[in-house]
Amino acid sequence: MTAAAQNTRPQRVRDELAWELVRDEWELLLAIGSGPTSVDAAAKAVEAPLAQVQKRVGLLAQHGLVAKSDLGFSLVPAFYERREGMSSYVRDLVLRRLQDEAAPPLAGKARLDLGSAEALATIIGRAEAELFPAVVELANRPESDQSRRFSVFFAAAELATPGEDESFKTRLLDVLKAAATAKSLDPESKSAYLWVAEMRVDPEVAVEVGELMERHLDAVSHSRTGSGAAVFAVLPASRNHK
Amino acid sequence: MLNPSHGGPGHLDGLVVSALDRVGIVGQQLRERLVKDLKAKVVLRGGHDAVEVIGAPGTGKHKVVDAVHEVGKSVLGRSGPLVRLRCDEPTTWSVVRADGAVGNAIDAAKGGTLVLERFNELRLEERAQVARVMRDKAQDALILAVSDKDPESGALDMRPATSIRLKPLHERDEDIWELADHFFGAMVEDQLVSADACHGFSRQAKADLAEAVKETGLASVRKMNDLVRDIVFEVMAEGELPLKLMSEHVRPYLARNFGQTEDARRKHDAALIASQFEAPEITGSMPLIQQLAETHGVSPEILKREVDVLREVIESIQGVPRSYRNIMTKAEDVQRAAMWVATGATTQADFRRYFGEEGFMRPTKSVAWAFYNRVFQRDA
Repeated sequence: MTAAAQNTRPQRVRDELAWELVRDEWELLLAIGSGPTSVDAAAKAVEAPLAQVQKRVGLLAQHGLVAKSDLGFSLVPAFYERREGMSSYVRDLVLRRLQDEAAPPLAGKARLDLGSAEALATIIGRAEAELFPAVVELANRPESDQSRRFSVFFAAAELATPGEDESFKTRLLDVLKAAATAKSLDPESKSAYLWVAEMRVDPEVAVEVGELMERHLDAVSHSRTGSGAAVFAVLPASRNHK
Repeated sequence: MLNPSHGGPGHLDGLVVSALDRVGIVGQQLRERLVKDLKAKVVLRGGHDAVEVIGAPGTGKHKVVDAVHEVGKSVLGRSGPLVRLRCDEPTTWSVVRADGAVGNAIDAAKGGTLVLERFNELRLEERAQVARVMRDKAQDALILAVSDKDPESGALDMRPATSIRLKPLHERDEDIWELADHFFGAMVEDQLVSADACHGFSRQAKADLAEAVKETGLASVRKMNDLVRDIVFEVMAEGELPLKLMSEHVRPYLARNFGQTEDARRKHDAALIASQFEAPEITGSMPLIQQLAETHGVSPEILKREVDVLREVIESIQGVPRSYRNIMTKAEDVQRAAMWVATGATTQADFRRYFGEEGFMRPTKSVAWAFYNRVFQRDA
């Protein structure tokens, strides 16, 4: 699921065509942001001819991804549910970002003591209800001159056999893989979750997002039984990806 | 002949990639393999070793032949023609012996490329004759032997010097999406569909197509083209094309024609995920100390020593909290003191001169004064 910057509580979108437009026009949508952004400014941001961008923005407006006001266009608040195979989603939106960034994440934490599948389902439910909207609210703060792009990952799944290497990167990959696989095999699974957000914010806001997510994960009580695990990471997005 | 190393390896790669573009070879996975193969098996050998091109029907052998001929022209400076000789036609061999026929064909292709089509269909004794001619006249033309499959074991020593093997399509997971886009694009070019009306396949639809290719063991790129066209025409027959051809358009076709199931799709996807996470570029990373040492252009040993020194400096802080500010102040002061000692300066003027004769290389007088006061803890 991908969060876009917004002003009100985002709607859920489960449409394959909308998802395709989000993926195809990722850069343009981020350039439009919470707006209002003129087509001219958006064209400059994505370095594309104005006439072409006009057409693309028109298509996005036609399908309800952006809304027009007197001053320009703005993103329509939405959580877009993945409507493609998990493998391409993970490849493009998770692994390529991890691969491209040599520096460690700004923030991140892994917990492998979260208990049973039922306990995980509760944790995921709370993240959906409280954590992700709060992250989106933070991400919607006005940009500064220092603003840049950050990726945020949150994954939760049962992790039967954690790798022996206890480094954060290994744990992050372990839980991401477990969540992606579980969701791929059973899209309706309540005990697995993978959430990806991309935002353009001031680095201090990105740190705050990390603190918020860490508090959320720290608040979950430790369990001696079960193999429930969760992980989050906030990292700079060093390149543009579709 | 051009020197293949002229302009460096990047330049050579560029020339080979241009040759692949000119003949229309699509698929990043195949292209990356071919760049390596064409360099190692054609260019670096000066085109003097015969090459066997092996691949199942429809895997693109003739595109590769065209690419080799193009590389011969653009990189090796050859200007002769491309000549084809079929090895499965009895008339070819009834008039002259195989070695004679191939020898004549090499003469006809002098300075260019000779393609021995269906090389694997030669009988053993013919193969032995042809192998000898290929060795003897290898300087005259770039010789390509095209085969659908490997020869039987008895013929292994009668093969060309090297080979280029083309993977069947179902083993080219990464290329299938690109080919789906390419074949749809070809329909747009042929004005069968409008690019404005339909932007091609959705990601999910391409994943579904890839699963079908994998599950059915489809080897042929040509068949993939047929498959794409078939789906597009079926959707068109039902009405206007949608903005994107999505899973709802592709899945009924794949279920009907290939028996594709939801379960198979999910298992294929899960297997792909597992392989992505196991890729060396994801799992393999150098230790942090090595990464940072490289980043800052020092050896890991120096960085390790620096870390040890810094730890001791931190431990030496007494009487004040070991806050970020206190630690950085102490560490910087110690670094300054070490710098002073390293310069061997006995005066502030000496210190400034250490950095060079030119004024711009030295610290300004005020900076040097501040440095001097920090090093000797003078209350300026």
